[in-house]
Amino acid sequence: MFTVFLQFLFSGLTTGAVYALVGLGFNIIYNATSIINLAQGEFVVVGGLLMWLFSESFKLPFLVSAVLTILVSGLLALLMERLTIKPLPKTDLLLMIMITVAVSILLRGLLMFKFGKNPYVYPPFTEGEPFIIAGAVIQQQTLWVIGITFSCIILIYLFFNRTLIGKAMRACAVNPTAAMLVGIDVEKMIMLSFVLSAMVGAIGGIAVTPISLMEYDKGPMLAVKGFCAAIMGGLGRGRGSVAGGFIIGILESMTAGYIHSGLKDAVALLILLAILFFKPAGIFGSKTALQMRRF
Amino acid sequence: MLLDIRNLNVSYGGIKALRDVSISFEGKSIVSIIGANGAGKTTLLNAVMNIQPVVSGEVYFNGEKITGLPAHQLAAKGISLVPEGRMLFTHLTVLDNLVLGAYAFMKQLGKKDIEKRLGHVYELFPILKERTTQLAGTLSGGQQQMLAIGRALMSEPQLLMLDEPSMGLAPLLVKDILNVIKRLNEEGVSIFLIEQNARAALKLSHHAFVLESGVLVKSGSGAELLSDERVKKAYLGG
Ligand SMILES: Nc1ncnc2c1ncn2[C@@H]1O[C@H](COP(=O)(O)OP(=O)(O)OP(=O)(O)O)[C@@H](O)[C@H]1O
Ligand SMILES: [Mg+2]
Repeated sequence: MFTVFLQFLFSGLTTGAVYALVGLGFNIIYNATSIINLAQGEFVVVGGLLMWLFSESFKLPFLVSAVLTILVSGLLALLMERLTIKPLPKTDLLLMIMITVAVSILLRGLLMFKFGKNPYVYPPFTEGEPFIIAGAVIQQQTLWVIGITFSCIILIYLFFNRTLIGKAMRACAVNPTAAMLVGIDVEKMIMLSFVLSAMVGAIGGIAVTPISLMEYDKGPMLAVKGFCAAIMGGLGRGRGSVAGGFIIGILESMTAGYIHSGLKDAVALLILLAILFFKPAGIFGSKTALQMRRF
Repeated sequence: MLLDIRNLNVSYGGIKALRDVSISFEGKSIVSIIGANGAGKTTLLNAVMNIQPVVSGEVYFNGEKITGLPAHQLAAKGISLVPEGRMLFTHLTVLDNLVLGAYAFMKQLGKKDIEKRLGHVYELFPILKERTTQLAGTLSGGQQQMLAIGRALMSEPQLLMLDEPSMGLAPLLVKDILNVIKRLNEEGVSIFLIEQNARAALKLSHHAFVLESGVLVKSGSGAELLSDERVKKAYLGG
C-alpha cells in the first residue's frame, strides 16, 4: 500500500520538477516585462530534442551537448524576442502575449519539420541501479531532475534578489518608465529575460527526456501545467511557482494512480480554475502583488 | 546654456499638448514652471527626458542635442527626473530603489561611492535610513516622495527636474521638501521645478515660466511673477 503511494509520489516529483521549471520560466519573463510567454513549453521540448540531436545524432560528449543545447535555446529565444516582441508597442501587453502563442505554433511546426512526430529519448545522465526506498523504485535520473531543478531555483532566486542586474530586471516589470529614467536599458532587460527563461526551460527538457521521452508537440501541455504552477504560486513568485509545480505533479500522479489516468490532465486545469475563483493572488502570493499586476 | 528647449511641439493623437515651447536657462539656478492642470507641464518634462516622443523641436543639454536619444542614456548625461506620481519600484526595498537610482553609473562606481551617495540621501531624509529594508510600495506618501527624490539624487545629477514633488503632502512636509530643494541648489544642483503651490515655487525660484494650454505666456524672475497682476489672479488666489 505504502510502496504504491511512494511510487506515485516519486513519479509526481519528476513531472512536478519540470512544471516547476516551466513555471519559473514564466516568472522570469513576467518579472521583467509583465508578459506571459506562452511559448515557454516549447523551450522544454527544444531542450530535449536538441540534446538528442547533439548527443545521439552528432555523438558529441554529454557536457558539450548540454552546453550547446542551452546556448542554442537561448539564441532561439533571443531571435524570438528581437523579431516578435521588440517591434511591438510596449504598452500593449495582450498583443505581446498573443504573439507568444504565434511563436509557440511556429516553433512546434519547425520542430515537427526537423524531428517528425516520433518521441525521442537518450540514456540517463548516470548509469546504475535505481534506489529502492521502502519497496518503491526511484531512478537515478529522477534524482538528477530534482537536483537540477533545485539548483536552477536557487540560482534564479539569487540572481533576482542579490544581483544588481536581477533587481534592475524586476524594476523594469514594476515600472518600465522609471527604470528608463534611472538608466536601465529596458529593451535589453526584456531580451535577457527571454534568453534566461528559455535556458531554464531547455535545462528542464534536457533533464527529463531520459525519463519521460520528448516529442515535438509536448509544449502546450507543459505550458498549461507550468502556467498553473505559476498562478498557484502567485504570479511573479519564484518559490511559489516551484511549490505549485511540485503540488500539481504529485496530484496528477496520484489521480492517475488512484482514480484514472485519463483524468490526469484535468487536475491542473481544475486547480487553475479553483485558484482563480477563490484565491486569485495564488496560494503563496499576496493581495498587494495582485493589485500591482498590470492585467 | 544648461538646458535649451527650442520650439518644442508635442501632441497626443490630434490634441496639441505643447506648442512651440522654448525655454532655456543657465546652470546652478532654480527655474520653475507654473500652470493650471492640463497645461502641459508634465508633458514638457517627459519630452525633455524622451519618455514622451516629440512632434518637432529640439532639446539641448550642455550644448549637446539630446532629442531622440534613448531615455535610459539621459541619466548618464546628468539629468534626473522625479516623475509625476513618483513611480517607485514598489516591489523592491527602499535600499534597492536608491541603489538602482545610480544604475546609470554602475560601471564607474565602487561600493564606497555608492555608500557615500546613500549617506548624502540619508542626511537629507533621515527617515529613509530607518526604512532601508521596507518595500517602497508600503511607505507613506511623504516617505515615498522622499524616496523618489532620493533615488533621483543617487545619480548625482547636474540638473534635477521635479514634477509636483509636493503633490498630496501635508503643508509641513511640503515646506521640508522645498527646503531640501533649496539646499540642493545651494550645493550646486540646478533645479527645474513644477509645482502646484505657485506661491512657494515662485518665492524659491530665480526664474519662472507660466504655461497655459501648451503655450508659454509669461516669464520672469520669481519676484516679478509674484507681483504680476495676471499671475496673482490666476495662480496665487487673488
Ligand atoms: N497620455 C495622454 N494621452 C492623451 N492626452 C494626454 C495624455 N497625457 C496628457 N494628455 C493631455 O495633454 C495635456 C497636458 O497634460 P499634462 O499631463 O502635461 O498636464 P500638466 O500640466 O502636467 O497637468 P497637471 O497639473 O494636472 O499634472 C492635457 O490636456 C492632458 O489631458
Ligand atoms: Mg502634471
